[in-house]
Amino acid sequence: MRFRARGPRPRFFADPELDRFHVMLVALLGEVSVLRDRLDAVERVLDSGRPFTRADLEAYEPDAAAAAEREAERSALVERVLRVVLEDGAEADTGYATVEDVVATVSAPHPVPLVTPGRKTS
Amino acid sequence: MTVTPPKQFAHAVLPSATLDERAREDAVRTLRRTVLDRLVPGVADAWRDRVEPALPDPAATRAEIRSAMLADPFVQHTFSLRRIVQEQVWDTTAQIVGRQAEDLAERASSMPARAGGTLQLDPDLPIPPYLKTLDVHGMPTGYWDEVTDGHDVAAGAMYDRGVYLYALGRSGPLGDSRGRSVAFDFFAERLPDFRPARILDLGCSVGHSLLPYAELYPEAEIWGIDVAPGVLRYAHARAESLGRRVHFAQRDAEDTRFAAGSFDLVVSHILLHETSAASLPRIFAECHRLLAPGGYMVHAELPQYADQDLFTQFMIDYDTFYNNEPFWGAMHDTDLDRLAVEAGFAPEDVSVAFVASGRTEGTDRTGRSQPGRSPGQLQLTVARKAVAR
Repeated sequence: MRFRARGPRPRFFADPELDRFHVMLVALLGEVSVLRDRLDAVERVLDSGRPFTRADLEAYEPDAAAAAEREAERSALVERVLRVVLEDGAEADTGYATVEDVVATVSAPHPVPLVTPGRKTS
Repeated sequence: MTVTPPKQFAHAVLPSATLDERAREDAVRTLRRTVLDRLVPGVADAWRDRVEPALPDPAATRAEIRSAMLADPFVQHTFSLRRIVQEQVWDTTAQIVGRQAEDLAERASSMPARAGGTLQLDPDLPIPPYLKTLDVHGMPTGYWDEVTDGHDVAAGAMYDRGVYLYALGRSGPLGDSRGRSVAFDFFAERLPDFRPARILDLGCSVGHSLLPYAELYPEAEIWGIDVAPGVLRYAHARAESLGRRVHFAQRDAEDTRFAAGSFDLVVSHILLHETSAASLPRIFAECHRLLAPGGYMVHAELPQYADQDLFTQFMIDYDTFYNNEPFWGAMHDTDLDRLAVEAGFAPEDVSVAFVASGRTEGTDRTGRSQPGRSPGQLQLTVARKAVAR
């Protein structure tokens, strides 16, 4: 069975290694979601209070309420991992373009002398 | 809002999935929905807020938009994710199908043809060159690979289970929303007196779009053709398991070798963009040859680019470059009406119609009815063969 399509794969980033890292990151996100779902299945079967085997677990099918809860958990997981892209540009504007601008502003000479390290103030 | 995962109808040859495989599908579906609903809309914001204002001159073509947009980091990230999720659809499906390929072949070959349909294969039929340049949609078997020695159905199983995941279940439990929309919203509604005796679906793959015609025209003799054996074996077993009498044959839409004038209706559903500029006129000419006088040719595709603004074209054109559908863009630029006239249809017999593409109706595996519609439109190129005088 082939897992890779024939023909050239498109590239999206200037550095092709970044494309490869992106692929691996998303694959890992999927694996984490699978682990999370499996753990959730174990917990829900345990909730029944009956002993169960791996075959029972394999046959687990969530009812509608459980399916909706699992779907919401899954969406939240994806949301957390993708947040840096999902909320791209969503930082509240405080009037400073860079962190350096903020550092320079708060560090600028001020009428009240700053505390010198090692010297006690009263 | 409560969201529950959609369920594909479990006909007799649908591959089964383990607990972890189902979870992997759920993860891919959630990712794909997040990318499509939350990230892709931001691409339009990137264009409006950053990319277009920075251009020295207004973009004159969608290629210029594409070139400028590909330098934007958000667009790079979004398109990369969209592509990767597509690859994850197939990676997930290939694991499911790969481990049961032999069993599926056995199930398909032993399926009794109770509905009365047939299967004709032609091992000597060449696979058209346009299907060998790239695996369409990034599906790693292509339409035509065979992975077992026997009655192989892997490509069909990949397509059926994978496309359902790709479509987020929106094409209905039987994946038939497109064929259902054309059959019931166009033919039944707008041509209620048209009763074709013999129907042909070009590039039918596993028969998703074809089976609704068997429902609408139960008396008709219905044929589906494709160039790939695996999808046809799967289509035959699937149709029989669903109780639909349909004949499947391995033939090329450019040269079907059916008798001239032997069909009253020749249809295709989102097929044309998967062919090539060279084959498109030959397919139209073959349709004209196959039709009996008064018969209809109808090709359903997404709307052509002509009436769409450049940015919308750029967005839809994603599939040309990133979904392994290299003819998508050029096909959507093609004047299909003119092509129909060049194929021999009279100009006054050629027209365009639109239908909403999301009609779904049927039963899921718990047996509940699932009527409903989802957004989207199909553009139909409609041509009627002149009635002899």
